[in-house]
Amino acid sequence: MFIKALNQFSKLFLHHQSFAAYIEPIMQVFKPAWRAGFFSAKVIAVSPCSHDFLSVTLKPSKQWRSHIAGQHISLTVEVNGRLLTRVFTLASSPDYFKATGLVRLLIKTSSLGQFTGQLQQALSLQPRCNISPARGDFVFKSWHKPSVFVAGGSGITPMLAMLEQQLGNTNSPMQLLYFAKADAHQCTNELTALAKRFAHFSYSLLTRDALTPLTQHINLDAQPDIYCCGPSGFMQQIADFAKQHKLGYFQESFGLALPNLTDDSQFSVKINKDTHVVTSNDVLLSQFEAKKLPVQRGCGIGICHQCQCIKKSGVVRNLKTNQLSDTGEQLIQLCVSQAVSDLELQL
Amino acid sequence: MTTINYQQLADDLDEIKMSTLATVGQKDANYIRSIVRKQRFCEIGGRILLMLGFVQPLLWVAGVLLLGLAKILDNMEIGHNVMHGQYDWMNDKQLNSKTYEWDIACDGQSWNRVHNFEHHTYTNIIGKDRDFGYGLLRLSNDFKWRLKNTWQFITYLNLSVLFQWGVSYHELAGERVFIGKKKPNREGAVAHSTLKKRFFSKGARQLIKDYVLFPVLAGPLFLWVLSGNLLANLIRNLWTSTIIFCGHFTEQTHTFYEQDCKNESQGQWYYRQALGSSNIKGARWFHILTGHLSFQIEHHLFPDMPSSRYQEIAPKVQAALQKQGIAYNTGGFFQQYTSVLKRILRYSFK
Repeated sequence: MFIKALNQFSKLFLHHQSFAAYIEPIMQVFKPAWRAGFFSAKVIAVSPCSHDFLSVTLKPSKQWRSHIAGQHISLTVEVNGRLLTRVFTLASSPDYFKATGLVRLLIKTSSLGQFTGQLQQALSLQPRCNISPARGDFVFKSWHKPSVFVAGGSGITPMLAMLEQQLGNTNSPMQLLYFAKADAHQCTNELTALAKRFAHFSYSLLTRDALTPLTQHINLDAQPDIYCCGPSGFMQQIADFAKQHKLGYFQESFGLALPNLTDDSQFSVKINKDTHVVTSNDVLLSQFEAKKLPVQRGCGIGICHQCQCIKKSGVVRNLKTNQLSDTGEQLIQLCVSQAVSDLELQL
Repeated sequence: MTTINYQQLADDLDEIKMSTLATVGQKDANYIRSIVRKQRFCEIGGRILLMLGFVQPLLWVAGVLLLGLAKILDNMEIGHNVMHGQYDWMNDKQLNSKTYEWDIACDGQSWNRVHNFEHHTYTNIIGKDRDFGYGLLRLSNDFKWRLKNTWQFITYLNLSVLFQWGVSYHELAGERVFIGKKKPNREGAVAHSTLKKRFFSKGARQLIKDYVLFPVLAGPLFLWVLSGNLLANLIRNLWTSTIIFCGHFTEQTHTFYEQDCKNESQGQWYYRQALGSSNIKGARWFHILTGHLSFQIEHHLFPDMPSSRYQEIAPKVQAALQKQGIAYNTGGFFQQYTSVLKRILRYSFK
């Protein structure tokens, strides 16, 4: 109640959305990574793994509540004065956090990536970074049924957390099918250790071309639940397989699974004084980037709000919720917005 | 204008801009954060000292000065520049041009629209840039003389004393919103009802904060705090008014006509921005207190470049302008301010 009143006071009279935002510059004198609306996390270890993976171990501040295995967080790092944010799934379990106070991320880096390309250096230069609360509903559903985890590439991260957390809680069979490029599988030592420790767990390291004979790996008679994480095309195949065999299916997307749009309608988008033409077969963010408009890319899947802008008029479809906006002024996220009418935006 | 190589001018200034923006980074982020930090210490310290006036009146004086300084830093170096988008690249929610709001009666969003668009696009174009004379003062022969211009020096003094309210009224185009004046070919981007709501909402919050809420919170020290807030606002009003007038209304700043600016090239736009502005020489602390509007020429050429870079690029800008024989209007504070006063007086009469 008191905090609520303080925030309202700040909003009305101190011109900040919260009292924490107002005092942020002062708090940073004592705690440099303190940011309103974020949790700070101490960087404990940053270790490169094979095939451009980076293992990052963080110690979140005491205020950070734990996660559910399979959930993701936003990681915010300051790179040359810029606060860059991306979303990553935690690769460690809540039990590990409870025991050590630490969380681990396993991040696929790209030397050309604006964020991951600079992440190792940035984290080695700063003792602290910022994280969000854990979010996401890709979590383990049932201890009473056999489960098959299907991971593609860096989609292994939520599986690691879920296996570490859940294997001790059930005797139901658990199986991991881990697809990656040849010899690019991560954390194989951990998987071997888990398989030795838990008799009801087995795993297979597979390559992408082994995807077709999926029935060879899954015991359909047991009617297992399928948990899948990986690239959208990969997940679509697994989803189709699960549907065909009437299996429970849960997935976590890395990228937005765009509907198959056949509508090539063109719309005009007025931005400040200029007018641009966009089509409805791609999200606005990608089209604006191609036109070199001053847009800010963040997570790209409608989570971090970095690409948020003001829609003055017109209608967009949120591809994440499939809902149409109203026609008036509102904030929209460009990375998940599809033009449905002519638009006026303020970038 | 015919002897100037506008393409060369554009190339030279673009080069200055691009090479400078390429180096913008941590140093600039640290700079603006340090200014915000200082502003917070001044504001909180000032408000506390205002309540200690009964112990020692000098503490109250220090409180007034600190609070005035906090308001100046907030309005000039932080608010003005952040709302120009100079620090949007930082992705910092507290320094974002879309959301920043400042400690002044003028609503930030209304200011953003009129100032960033009308003033910076149509700088000193008669009839297009409403900031030229603020609709109150006759500052060139382009405007017909009226009787009220005879006492416009007093109008100027009144405007300076009440500058935050003048800006608030002006930036929402008060003459259109409240009085109903219309101009051809000009459509409001925001509904009048919205502008009115913003005007009254922000103004009321400022009045309540400085003249009701904080004085009441001070209990028996009500009058100490109320009078301190009044003086701090006055200091800010006089300072911001003076600096802004020195930036555009010295005798050397030029005016332009709409027909001359049609289809103008980038080089011609730069030319107009340079001649429509004037700089003030001074020490580093002075530049910070002006929000680096003491580098008004550089600000008008590159309004979204972090202000902390204006001093660094000023010699390069001056060289690029001189290469084309374009005047670089600069001078000490008293020289420029005297020039402003002379201009106000000169055009008071036919």
